[in-house]
Amino acid sequence: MSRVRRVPGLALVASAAIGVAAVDRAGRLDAPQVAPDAPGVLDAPAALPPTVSDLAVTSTAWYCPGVPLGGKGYDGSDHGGRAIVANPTDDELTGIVTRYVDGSTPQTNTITVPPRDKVVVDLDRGVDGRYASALIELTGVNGAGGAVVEQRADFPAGESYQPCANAPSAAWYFADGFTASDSEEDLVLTNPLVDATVINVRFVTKDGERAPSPLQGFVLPPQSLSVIKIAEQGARGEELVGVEIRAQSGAFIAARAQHYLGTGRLGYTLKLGAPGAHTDWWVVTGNYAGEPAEQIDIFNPGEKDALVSVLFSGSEAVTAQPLSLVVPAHRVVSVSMANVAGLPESDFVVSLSVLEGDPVVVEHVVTRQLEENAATSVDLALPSAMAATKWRSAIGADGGRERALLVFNITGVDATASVASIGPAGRLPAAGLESIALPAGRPVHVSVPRGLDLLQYEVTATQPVLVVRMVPRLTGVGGKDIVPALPVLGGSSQSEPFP
Amino acid sequence: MESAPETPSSPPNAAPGGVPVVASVVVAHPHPGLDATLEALGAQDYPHLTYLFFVVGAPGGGADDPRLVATMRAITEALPQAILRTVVGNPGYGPTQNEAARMVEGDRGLFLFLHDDVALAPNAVSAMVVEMFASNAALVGPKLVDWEDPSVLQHVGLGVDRTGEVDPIVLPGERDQEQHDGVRDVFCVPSACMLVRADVFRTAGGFSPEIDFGGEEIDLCWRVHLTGGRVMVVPSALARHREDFSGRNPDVDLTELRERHRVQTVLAATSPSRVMPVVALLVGLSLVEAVVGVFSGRAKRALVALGAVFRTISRVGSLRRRRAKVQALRLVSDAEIHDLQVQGSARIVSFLRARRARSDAKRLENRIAAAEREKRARTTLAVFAFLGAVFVVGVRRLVIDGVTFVGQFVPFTESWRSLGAAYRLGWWPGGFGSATPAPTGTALVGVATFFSLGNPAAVRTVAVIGLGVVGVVGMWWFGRDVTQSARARAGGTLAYAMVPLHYEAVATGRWSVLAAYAAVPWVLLAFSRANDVLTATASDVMRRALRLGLVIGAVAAFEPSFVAVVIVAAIAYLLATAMCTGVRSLRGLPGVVAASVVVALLLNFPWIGHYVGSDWWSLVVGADPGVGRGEGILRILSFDAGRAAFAPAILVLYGVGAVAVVVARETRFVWAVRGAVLTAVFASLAVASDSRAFGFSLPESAVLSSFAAGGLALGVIALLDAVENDVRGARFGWRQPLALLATLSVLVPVIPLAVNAADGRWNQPRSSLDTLLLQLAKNPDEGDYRVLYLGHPDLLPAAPRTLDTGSSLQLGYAVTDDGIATLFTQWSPGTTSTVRTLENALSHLMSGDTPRIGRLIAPLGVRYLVIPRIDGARSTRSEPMAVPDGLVDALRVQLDLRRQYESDDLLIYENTAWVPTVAQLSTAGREASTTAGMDELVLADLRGATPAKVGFVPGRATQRLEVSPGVVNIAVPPSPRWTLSVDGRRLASRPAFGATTAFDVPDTVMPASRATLRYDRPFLQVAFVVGQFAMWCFALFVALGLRLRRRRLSPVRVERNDETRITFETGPR
Repeated sequence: MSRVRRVPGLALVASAAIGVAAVDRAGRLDAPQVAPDAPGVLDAPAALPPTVSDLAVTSTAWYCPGVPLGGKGYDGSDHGGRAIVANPTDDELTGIVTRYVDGSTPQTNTITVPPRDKVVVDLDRGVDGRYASALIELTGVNGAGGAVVEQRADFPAGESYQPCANAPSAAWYFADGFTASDSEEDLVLTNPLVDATVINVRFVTKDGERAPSPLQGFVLPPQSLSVIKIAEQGARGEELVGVEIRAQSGAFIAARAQHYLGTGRLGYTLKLGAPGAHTDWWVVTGNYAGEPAEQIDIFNPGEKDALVSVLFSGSEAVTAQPLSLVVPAHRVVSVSMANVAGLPESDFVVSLSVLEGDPVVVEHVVTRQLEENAATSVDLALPSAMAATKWRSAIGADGGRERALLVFNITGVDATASVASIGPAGRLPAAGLESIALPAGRPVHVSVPRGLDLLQYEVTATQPVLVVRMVPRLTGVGGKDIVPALPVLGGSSQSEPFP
Repeated sequence: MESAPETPSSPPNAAPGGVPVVASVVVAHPHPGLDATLEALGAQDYPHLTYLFFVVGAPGGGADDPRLVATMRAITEALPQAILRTVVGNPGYGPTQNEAARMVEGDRGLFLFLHDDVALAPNAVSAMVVEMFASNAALVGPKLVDWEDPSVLQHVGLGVDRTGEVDPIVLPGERDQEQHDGVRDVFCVPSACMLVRADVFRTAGGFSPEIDFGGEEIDLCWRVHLTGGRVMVVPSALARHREDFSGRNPDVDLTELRERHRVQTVLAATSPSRVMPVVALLVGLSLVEAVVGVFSGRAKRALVALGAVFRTISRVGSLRRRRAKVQALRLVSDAEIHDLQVQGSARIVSFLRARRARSDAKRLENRIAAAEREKRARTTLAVFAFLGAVFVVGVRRLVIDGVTFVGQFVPFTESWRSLGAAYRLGWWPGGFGSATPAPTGTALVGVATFFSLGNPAAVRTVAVIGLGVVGVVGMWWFGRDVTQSARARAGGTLAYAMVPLHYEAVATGRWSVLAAYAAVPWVLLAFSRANDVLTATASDVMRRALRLGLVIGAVAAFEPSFVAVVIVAAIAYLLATAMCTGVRSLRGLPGVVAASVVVALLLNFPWIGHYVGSDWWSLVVGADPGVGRGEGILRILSFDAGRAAFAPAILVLYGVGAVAVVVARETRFVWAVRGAVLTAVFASLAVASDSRAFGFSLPESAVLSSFAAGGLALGVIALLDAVENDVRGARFGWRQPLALLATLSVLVPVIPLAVNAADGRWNQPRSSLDTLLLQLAKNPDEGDYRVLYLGHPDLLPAAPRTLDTGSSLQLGYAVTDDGIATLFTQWSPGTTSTVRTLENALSHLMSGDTPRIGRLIAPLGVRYLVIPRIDGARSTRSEPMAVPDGLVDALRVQLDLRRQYESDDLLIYENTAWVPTVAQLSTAGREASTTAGMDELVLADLRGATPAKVGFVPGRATQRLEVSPGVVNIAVPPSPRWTLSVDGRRLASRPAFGATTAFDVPDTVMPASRATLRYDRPFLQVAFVVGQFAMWCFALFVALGLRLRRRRLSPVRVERNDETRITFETGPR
């Protein structure tokens, strides 16, 4: 062997040892690591109210929460409902509709939705029961992205609109509930899975929290619809009933059907619950004209008390001071607008932010006195995460309808919006609605010009906005149903989380 | 008929001084001592001495080779009357000396056969001639003493037992105190110098032409005894002998040749009545020696002997011819010859004599030195006793209760026939199957199963508990190249055994790590020996490359990344060597490593072709989780996979390695640096792999750590060697206490080793996921199915692929057939249409695009989706591994998936939309099978398909089906080689669902008709398999030094340099 050279050898060993430390440091600084607690990819869309995606997805599934059928043997025509399937794409969509009726086996039939058109599916035809819900699966040659499905529930007290859900969820929350004056409140629960879903139901009233034992481990059979009448579960005569439904296993769809019969409320609503709690919510439909009975219900389904900041804004006329509320765990706190000084009659918006504690669920209830009677509307507030630059609606709007839409620019930057009508001729700008000014932080009502019927439409803004539709009730108590449009998420239209 | 030879009765001439003697010297590879040899010959006082020199040229050299010319000039100058002959090539000592008998005419003389490194005393020839006449001997030899120190005895004849084992009579280093100076009969004298009667030599047939080097003297002397001649040693004749054959011929393995020739001689010379007992004795002794040799590092000698016995016996014709020749000489019975031989075992006799001598010496020598020697022996013995005890304790439950199916330790259930059939077929049954060659590893397991007498479970258990032993024994063998100190070797071996790598691999079920751990010392051994290749022949270089290639190839058959790991190790080794000793010292290592890598790749061909593609790296290194495993540097450096107790104790060995670098000198310093560099380089890579520091996936950190473990053991060897040679006895300073502290530190990890062995299964969990998976029935009546495993790549029971789903941790998935995972699923399958379809569906699943994943994967036969979460080994309740983000949520909302089982350990969903693996499709399925779009599948309800076969065996060429008119779908990738024969018609296959294989069964076929599904094996596959088998056999034979054919010796080609004729009567004319 040649002469041994110590210095180069020692230098090599030293540099190799340094290399170990360097690699370790580089690994710790640069390399991504597993985050076991990271939220699931489906958590975000599942925790939001219904949205729509323009991505080229293979198929979409829409879960229409249910329409009233009138019960066994009912033969009238004022109960029922329909699903409105809108296809804004340039390709034909095919689909399968599976209807779930309490006490019956699921029924399926196929549908075809022509390009840039929409199809109305009768959900009550040929079925017998209390409620019927539906799963509508759509697919197309280039995917089913962009399609929108909403439902209309018909009831003698008036119709109620609701976008269909995108996915089942393991938990649903309702901040508001009402059984006073023998008002009826039904939970309409659909399990579209091939597995039984086991749920636990808890109610929150002014008196506290209740977990009726029959509703603990309550089984939703596979591919079925179940109905729980709140009043029969020991919550009769309550003016405030928050509901929390959690699945021990599986997932499901939950809607609340309300028939208001007094104590300040009248009318009918059938709305989805909130699939998840959030820390930031917007109520953008504030209007104190005529001093309506208006309240915001805040439900904390978590284990820790929530400190919620309530801010009123929307115009210079809003002088109401911010509120700071503590919403205890498993409790509902109701804020009556009548008790808030400084609210103008003009439109205002309310933002609710959880400063400390667990996220909450927020619903907005408004009862307006009409000429002959009163009409109650309930709408789920909108989580900030839903803010988007594009919104879509399957429910059309007739020409000449005043204040049909409310668009709220949640940013601090002025923006513009345009409305496009989607029909057989394609996607066309709605005349007169090509450029709607959206001042920063202000809600803007949009009226549909006369002679312009929008079969289905799309609102596009230059900044993230929230869009709510005011759909007039043609039957029953009348008035308007407040229905959020569907934000287009999952593409360039999705905004960054708004602070 | 050949007449029996006469007994040599008397020497040729009555007057000793008048007997002509021809001194025949073979000169090869001349050395500085040749002048002394020539001078000694010239100084002989015997008058009738003729000198005959055979000068062997260098391989490939001609007559004008400068070295040859210089040698001949030296001989001519020293002995002008000498007759010179040049020999082309190197046919061997005996065959060359036979030329002397051919060249010299007459029988009335004597041959003095000499090596070129023997210097005779001036009276040596005359003394031997006189004694030959006085004792009426046929062959005599001198007393050989050490060249450098003539007071040290080398040989006074040799004793030989009935198995040909040699008793050297004198002890190593024994001083010449005239204790052996009596003239006496011996069985044999060394060929270095022997005086033999010409007539006897010719009668006996001369040296065996079949023996080139090693053992020619035993063969000749045995035949002389058969003819009744006496063989004697003449101590009054003195000769110095250098005896450095191996040093001068590094490319010739003299030990191996001696063993081979010994066996051949014994089998040829033993009488027919005794040959069978002798064969049994040879086999028995070789077996015992092989077992002992495993621990003493001398197993090779026994294995060569064992191989020689069987090979010689197997060549009946050759053996019979040789025996006929030898037995024809017989004038003396075997009983008489046996009386001349050593009684009992010469090996044992010499061992006992040496031991007795050591004991005597001990009494005489310094008491401190004696105690030191005793301590060394005790240290080595204690280390091996400890390791043996730990091994027995550590594996006892594994042997009794069996190895748990954890990690990669899938049960071996396939017979060697089914493994072989699948291998020959050219259809890889893993996953959904593919028309590519099956992994070489399946064939190797098949071969092992064959030799286990068809017990695959035994192969698995032996492999699990044996690979660690292979590694530890390998380190002991490798230590021999590093140091002559048995204590240092024992320390290094202990260090390697203490590294938790192997028992953590057992606990977590990692074949790849076990294989790498077993191979690393042998790779280092090959690195060490590759430095000699410049002095070796081409065949020797090839043998070394084949040996290393075999090791790499065998491991790569199970862990392909090992090829890359060895290349990096070689670079680190070269770098360390070059920095310490200069670039010139690198010598043959790069060439040997390059050749061995080529060999390893060839040994894995054609399967290795699977890795040719754009995603080759991900296939080689295994599934990329997309994130670091995040175990941290402390656990990586501790070789801690989470199961071992007190694993950080091994960290002290890093300090030991560092101290070795500081205190070692000379070659020990070089070894210490090599160890430290290997440790540091592979620790860096392991850390990088763990943290994914380079942004891409590296081989598994534990596989990389195996070389770090080897480096640590090397550091311990270097330290202990340095303590004996560099520290002890040196001037007192800081090095002594530092080295002492480091030496004591080596023992620290002994405790964790013992503790972890205590449970008898190296902390392997007693139960694992497989017990839960037993609920998934095998071959149920409703049809065969597939299981799709999803989750963290490290937790899947089959080789996973990964899918980038946008989350940090990529989604790992693996597919198995019904029942639990098998050996076939342990290699990542390539990309096929079925794989693409599945990955497409999984992408949609993870992006929430569809609630109908069940329908999308229904044509692939996927009935169950399993998400392992805790396997008790790598993922425990206290430290669970993450499941890819959103996976469980995505599955929860699927419309076709039914929860079959849910616990913290495992989640199983049943796909209610599934179609059996081999299915007669429903009407809806029949229509959907002609399309390839996912949109069609989403709306198609394929339920209602019925199984066309239950018990479909992937990898079998021909299978019976029961078919009806319609479409038969087989959930394997489309290939035109699939055909279905029914009613005498052969139906061609077509792609179905854009992913699978389908057959359109015409309406004319009766319902429930018998059909034959066939996969036509490609001809090239047959050729490849035959070629690969031949390649493995060739590599094994060459690497082990075995030969299919008897080694043909090169013929002796003597070139006449002059026309001088030689006769005994007149001398040179």
